[in-house]
Amino acid sequence: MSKELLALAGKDIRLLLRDKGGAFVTFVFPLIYCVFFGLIFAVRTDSTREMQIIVVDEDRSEASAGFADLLDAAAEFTVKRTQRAAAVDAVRRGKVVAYVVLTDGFGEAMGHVLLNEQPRIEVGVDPARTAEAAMIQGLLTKYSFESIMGDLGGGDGLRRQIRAATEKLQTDTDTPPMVRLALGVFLPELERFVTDVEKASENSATADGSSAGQVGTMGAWQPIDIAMVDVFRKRTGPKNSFNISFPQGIIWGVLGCCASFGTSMVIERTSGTLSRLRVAPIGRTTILGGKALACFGSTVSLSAVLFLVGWLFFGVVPKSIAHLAVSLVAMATAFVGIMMFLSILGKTERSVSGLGWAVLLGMAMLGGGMVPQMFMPAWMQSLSHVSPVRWAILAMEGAVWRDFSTSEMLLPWAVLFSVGVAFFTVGAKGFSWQSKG
Amino acid sequence: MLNLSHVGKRYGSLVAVDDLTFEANPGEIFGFLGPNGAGKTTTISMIAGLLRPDSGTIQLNGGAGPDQPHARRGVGVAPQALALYEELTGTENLTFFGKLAGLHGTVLRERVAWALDFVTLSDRQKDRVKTYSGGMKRRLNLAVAIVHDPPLLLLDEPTVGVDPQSRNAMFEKILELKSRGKTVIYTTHYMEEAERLCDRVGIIDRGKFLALDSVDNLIEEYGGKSVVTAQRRDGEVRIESSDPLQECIKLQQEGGILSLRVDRPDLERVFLNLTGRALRD
Ligand SMILES: Nc1ncnc2c1ncn2[C@@H]1O[C@H](COP(=O)(O)OP(=O)(O)OP(=O)(O)O)[C@@H](O)[C@H]1O
Ligand SMILES: [Mg+2]
Repeated sequence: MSKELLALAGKDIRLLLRDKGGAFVTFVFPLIYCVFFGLIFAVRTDSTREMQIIVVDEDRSEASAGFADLLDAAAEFTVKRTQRAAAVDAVRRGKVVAYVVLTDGFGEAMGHVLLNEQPRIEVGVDPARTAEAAMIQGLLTKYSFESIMGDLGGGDGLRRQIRAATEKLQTDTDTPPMVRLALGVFLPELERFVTDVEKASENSATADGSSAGQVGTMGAWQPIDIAMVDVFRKRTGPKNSFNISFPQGIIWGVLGCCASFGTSMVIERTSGTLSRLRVAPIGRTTILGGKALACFGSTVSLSAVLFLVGWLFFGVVPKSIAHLAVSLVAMATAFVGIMMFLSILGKTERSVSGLGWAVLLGMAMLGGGMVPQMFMPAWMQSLSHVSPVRWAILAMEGAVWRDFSTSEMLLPWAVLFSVGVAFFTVGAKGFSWQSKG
Repeated sequence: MLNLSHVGKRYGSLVAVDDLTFEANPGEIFGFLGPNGAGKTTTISMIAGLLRPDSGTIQLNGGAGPDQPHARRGVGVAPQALALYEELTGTENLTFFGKLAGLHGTVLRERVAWALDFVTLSDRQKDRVKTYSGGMKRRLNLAVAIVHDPPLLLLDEPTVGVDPQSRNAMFEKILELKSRGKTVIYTTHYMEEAERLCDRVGIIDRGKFLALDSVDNLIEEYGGKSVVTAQRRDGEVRIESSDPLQECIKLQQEGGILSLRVDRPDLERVFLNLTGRALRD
């Protein structure tokens, strides 16, 4: 790349940064957009502090309703209640972390835990979410302990009952000797168990998910039978709302760059500096190339920086960095071409800026830069195919969360590159080199 | 160094430059003197490659036309309409245009410092151009033309709005450039400038040279006679003469003189005599 080209581009980027309004439109506004709309559209899916679960009560007994309420009241969970089918679907689509089914017979088994009947709970969770699965398992164990202890009137009450039963047993002559012998072994054993349970319950009450998980595997005894069911999450939805708002917000930065540089072409002409560039020992191609390079460079770095911010602070983790890189290059190419095209829309700074923004806003409106595509009616979605903004957003989303394969990415990339070449050609051909006077 | 042959340019029906032919030599300051709309800027623009002549040819150093980028490397232009990046500082403007002309590294830095000194703007070099006064911008506009040390300089009214002190400093520096062998094309309406700086002056009106020669020869040929004006007790006496000193002595001998003034012919008179109009309306 020639030194002159770099000098031209460097000058333009410096001018862009010097212009407070331009820098705002290009850098600050898009970031505000990304964050603001990310918060507005917020669909919480990934909170580890409060897990969204669905409780399906198939037992419909007093005990199962009580247990469901207990989970509802728990600080660790936000609970919704639906039928099993809806619950499975919600987990599959990643709307909630897990579903918990209190199976038929849950309540009855709860009443007979001391007789070693285990209430059965089915938990459906995406196997990829190992941490959450372990946490849920532990928490369910903890709350089932709590529930059982509550039913029996707490540890002290239980111990008193056991001791009373033991004493009665020793003086009772009605009981057959074999049974007395068996209970003589069992009741002290039971008392020791109650103490164990209390300790375990205290542990988990103070502990976070990981140690609660240990409770579930605690050797001695499991009050409930937790059956883990793998529900594979469909990997098509965005991970969170920022995954939607960032590509959209970044588009605004790109449009800002495009408008700034398109206008700056005309400012060069009206301020006479274009004549100076033409007098310099460089060709016209270099002059246009310098402008294109500046626009390209700022577009790519702007979008890369915003994605980095999204990645570091807002959970916008691209599925493929390589795809994203190509997408940003393709998008920048398209908008460099459009920038060149905008520069021939008028003779003055005012007319180019006005007409240019009108064109860009039209593209944004149609292409999902204002209202996300997914909220558009079907006819508008198909109309949006004519907007480069739509393809730019698709190229970014494909790499960020749609998890497109390389062959799926080819279409948006090809469209963007072609848009760039076509618009640039028209703009460069139509550009008027003659200054005033 | 610079060769124009039968160069013409028209805007629609208006003939801005009409069959202009001249040659400028190394180490020469060639002046274009003419009223508004005479075609000076149009000619400069064609030499700089900004306008394509409708007819005729222009050859820069070595014969290449100004449409060749490499030929323009040897040309520096200070356009009449200021052309600077207002949001950049003086140094940044000069550095940028220096780079475009192929300078870099230490040479570039030295040339930028030299150009700033040339127009006495070193103390304002770190300020953005938009904070400059009109005269300062005009001076920086000239500095951009010379930063890459081109052998051919096209200066289109480079001193408009510049105060006398800075203007004098600029004249000295331009003469210094000339002594280093640069060719300067200099347009102006100011006769004093043309008289002081130019080796040869082309008097241009309506796109045509009315006369082209050294200042002395122009005055001798077209200036007419000197005018001696004497105030006497009995009134004013005006005498035209090619030997004003002799006339003064004669008047003195006649006696009764209150005051004496000698108006030597100048370029203004040359222009008046050539066109029947004053140079400035
Ligand atoms: N772009 C243009 N379109 C039409 N006519 C033009 C254009 N530029 C210059 N002219 C005309 O060409 C003629 C020569 O203009 P030019 O600018 O060369 O004059 P000049 O000698 O530089 O005058 P001044 O002393 O005012 O700078 C004028 O009549 C002017 O109106
Ligand atoms: Mg002019």
